Amino acid sequence: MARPKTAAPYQPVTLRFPKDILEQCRLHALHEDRSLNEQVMHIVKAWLKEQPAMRGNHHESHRPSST
Amino acid sequence: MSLIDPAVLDVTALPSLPLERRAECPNIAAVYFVLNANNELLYIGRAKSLCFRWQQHHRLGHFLKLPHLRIAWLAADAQETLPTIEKALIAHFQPRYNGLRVNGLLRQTNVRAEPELLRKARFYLDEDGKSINEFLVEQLTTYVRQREQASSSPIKEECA
Repeated sequence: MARPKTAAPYQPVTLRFPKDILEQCRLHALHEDRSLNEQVMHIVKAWLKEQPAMRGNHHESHRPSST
Repeated sequence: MSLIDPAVLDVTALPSLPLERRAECPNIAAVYFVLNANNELLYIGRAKSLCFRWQQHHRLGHFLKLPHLRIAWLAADAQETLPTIEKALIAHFQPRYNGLRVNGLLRQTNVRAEPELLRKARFYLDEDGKSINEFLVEQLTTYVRQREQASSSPIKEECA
């Protein structure tokens, strides 16, 4: 019997960055003891936290669920 | 313009407009210059119609990501002189974006993201009409600028 497939824990995202930004970002992240990947996720998480407040209460009912 | 000596040309004294106001460029034949906030010359080009050129410049997407750019221009008496003048000015100033291929300015990389985070981010970004890529480039550019301001200079890779 085949094993049930489990959802991949991480999803690859291909990004196209200006070279100078990518290199500077990688170096700044390293100085903060993070990989580029970790830095990207850190920024996304921080941004997501701010969004409900930034977009006002009308957004509460449409907020993405945390399922 | 045909008698211009690049060595005595003061690009910062030429008429100019912020990049955001490129639609106001005059409809003239000209050699144009892209300068940053420090008056560093980034790019030299030529156009038979300056205003038309800047409506659809092949590097516009990249330039718009750089802060506080200006377009300066030197009007041409005759269109035929444009290539010669442009070539002489590029040879003299050697702007860093001349000679770079457009695709060479971008680097592709993969990041591995938690699907749940991406799903949430897409929820908001759909509303803003932005792609994940546009959003992340914007966010990371802001992050780099903030770090540069904090340390007042870009980080240089240390040699071992």
